[in-house]
Amino acid sequence: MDKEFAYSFKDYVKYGNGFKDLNPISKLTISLCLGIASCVIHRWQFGIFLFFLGIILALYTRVFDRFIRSLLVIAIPLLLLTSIMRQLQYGHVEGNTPIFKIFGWQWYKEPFIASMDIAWYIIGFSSVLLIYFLNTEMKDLMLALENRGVTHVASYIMLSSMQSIIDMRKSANTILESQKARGIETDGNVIVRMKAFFPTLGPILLSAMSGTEEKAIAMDARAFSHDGGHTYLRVLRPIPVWEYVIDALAVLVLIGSIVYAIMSSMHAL
Amino acid sequence: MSRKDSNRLTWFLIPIGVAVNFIGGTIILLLKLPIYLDSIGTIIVGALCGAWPGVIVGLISNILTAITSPNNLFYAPLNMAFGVLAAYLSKKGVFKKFIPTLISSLGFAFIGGAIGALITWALYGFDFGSGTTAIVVLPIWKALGSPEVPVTKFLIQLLGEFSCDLLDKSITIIVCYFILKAFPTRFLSKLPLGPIYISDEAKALDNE
Repeated sequence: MDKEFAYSFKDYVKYGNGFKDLNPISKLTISLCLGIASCVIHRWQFGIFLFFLGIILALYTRVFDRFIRSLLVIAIPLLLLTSIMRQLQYGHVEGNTPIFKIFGWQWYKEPFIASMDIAWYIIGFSSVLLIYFLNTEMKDLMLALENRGVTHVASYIMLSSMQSIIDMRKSANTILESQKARGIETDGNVIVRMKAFFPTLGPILLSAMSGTEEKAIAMDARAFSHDGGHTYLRVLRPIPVWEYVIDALAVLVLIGSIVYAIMSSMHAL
Repeated sequence: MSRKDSNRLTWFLIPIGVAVNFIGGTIILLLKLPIYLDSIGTIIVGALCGAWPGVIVGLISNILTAITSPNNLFYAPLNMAFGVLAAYLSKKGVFKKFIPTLISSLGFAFIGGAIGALITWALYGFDFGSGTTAIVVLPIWKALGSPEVPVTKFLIQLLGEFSCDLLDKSITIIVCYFILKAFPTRFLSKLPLGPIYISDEAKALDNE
């Protein structure tokens, strides 16, 4: 049992899921290329395509719940507000085609499609990036970047930031509770609540800041600033050829989208 | 203390800055206040460590919020610009006195308004966005603007975002002012821009 645990560090990092097991940088390339392509193409059709691609990948990687919850928070206000804003502004421009009525309010086709283009390209962009973040451990991404020559300080800053947020959130709750117990009012009107803000934030911040110095000494005692080579407990699997092919395809989609955008803008002129 | 050492402390301060950006938002949520206060960390690190650390804090904060809502990535230049402005004003000694600090919130709100409006403008096909500002600016535009002049629309958007930002940024900057004041001298002396905030009495004591 103990041996098994010890030997587990010799294996490559594995999640047992085709998409999750892709190299973090490959995944990032694919997501960014598709996301930027969505911005460049700027059409609702492509946005909806990315949205469904996101749903399929979310189901495949078992993150559907978190994916759809985060995405709906972005998508619903975006769809509603952009379409209403466009109808209010351009509803009465002459030559528009009426499509439907909502409670006696006539909606027109042209501004509706324009608003859908905008809302869906942002939803498409968000979908692919959400899938990326939901399926990639930040430590794997930083490890992959370090293997490509990025300094270990960058990894420390990124990973420590995430840990600090978790730690500080805990201490924020603790301090708010203790300040409440001490008699500071946290309910009531805006001014009363605002007054409670300072005595909560102050102690958290100052203790975190003064902890920095000790952390710096502790890290230096563990050779943080040493320039020599590093060893790792996690090892990413070598990138297979087919993964490079998928990356290349994603880049091709991006190039294609740029060509399409240039062509269609020239056509419009 | 050598320059390299003070840089090293900066590395360790950057994660704290990022966390403070988030915690400001969390406490606001716990206290149910109608503001954001999501750039306190960026401004403090910018003011104490310089422009680059401020920019890094802003960028990382936005990358981390992008984990749950990726459209925040578009607004990363905003938070990064706050870091640069904070470093610039800090070098000029603006944050040492209360009134200049308060006035500087105009600058932060202007950056928030101008860059924010530019990004919204580009994102939404050179038109109004879909945030809370949109609800405010649309009636103003309906009342004032003419559809033929697109510039008025951009200016109204800018003005809308500026005024929405002003309250938020003035409270942010007041919080930052008091935090900078509360820093122990021992710690300030080890940061690149820290010596600016060491009080004259402390300096006099040091000279004795």
